[in-house]
Amino acid sequence: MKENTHFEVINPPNSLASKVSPTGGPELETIVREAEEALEDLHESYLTWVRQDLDQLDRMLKQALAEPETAPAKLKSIYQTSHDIKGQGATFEFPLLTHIASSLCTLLADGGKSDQVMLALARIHIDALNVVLKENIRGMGGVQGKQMVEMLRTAVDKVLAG
Amino acid sequence: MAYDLSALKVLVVDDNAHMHQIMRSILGAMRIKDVRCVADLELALKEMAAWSPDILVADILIGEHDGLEFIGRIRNGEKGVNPYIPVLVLTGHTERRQITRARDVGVHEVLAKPVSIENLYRRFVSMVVNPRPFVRTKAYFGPCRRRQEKPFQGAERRGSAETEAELVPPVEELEEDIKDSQGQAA
Repeated sequence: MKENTHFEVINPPNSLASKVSPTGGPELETIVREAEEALEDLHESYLTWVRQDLDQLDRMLKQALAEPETAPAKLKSIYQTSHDIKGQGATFEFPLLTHIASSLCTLLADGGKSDQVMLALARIHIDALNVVLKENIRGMGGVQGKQMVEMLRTAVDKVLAG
Repeated sequence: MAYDLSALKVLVVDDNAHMHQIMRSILGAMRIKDVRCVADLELALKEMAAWSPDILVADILIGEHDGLEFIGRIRNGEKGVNPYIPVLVLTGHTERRQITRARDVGVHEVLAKPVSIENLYRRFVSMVVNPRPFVRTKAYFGPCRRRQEKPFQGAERRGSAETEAELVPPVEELEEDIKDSQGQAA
């Protein structure tokens, strides 16, 4: 047998087994219900967080447009903030925020060219996020919501391909 | 069967304070109250050594820092830290490149944000009830593809590269899990 083909299998001690009883815990449906109730308690806080996030996106983009030399750094910040929105929107009944923010993340994932077309498309995404929050559109926003996400994704694909 | 997870200690590493609140809410519903949340990798390492959590939940990007590199440090025997700790990556960074890296540093599970309550619970139960052996190869140290429910004979076994390929979890497996979790996100 060649030396570089060796492997080793290790069975580490399972300290968790002694801590977890197979009975006595809540059923999954209870966990889901209670977690959803706890998240509902955070809903008002979430609206404040996401409002702040959207204001920050707006501010960053305005700065990127006003001072093009800062655009790469600002777009990086926009990417990070939109990642947070993507990761939390659906948890608070705003999956449309998650989808739009996801599209914005795709646009900016590789740093972006920070040209006018990219900045304009980022603007459209941020405006769309603001509309969803302002109009309190929970769920996917019906057919129009889905169409909007598809249009944004198509536009992002075109900009990235071009 | 309803597992009682209440005695578990969980460390959450995420740079977003709102995620800390979300995770505390969900873990609380799972009766896990002993939860610590940090947004800084050095602090996380200190908690790992001093507090010895049972499960680590970490994002891939912690501010400007690399959460996967941090997990790699744990697996590589960071002083005073359990290198076998079950690690669940919870992230919005689900590109193949990142999932491959997550596999390579030896994570147990990857879940996509937004987090699904049901999937988080199932993954926790899986890590506790069906712990995986670890496999060490020249290029990989982390959980084995196989579950311990079919244990190897003896505490340790060595073999050939042909079997090695069967032991290291394939990236596709993690990607499938992520697709499942995205379909059920809360």
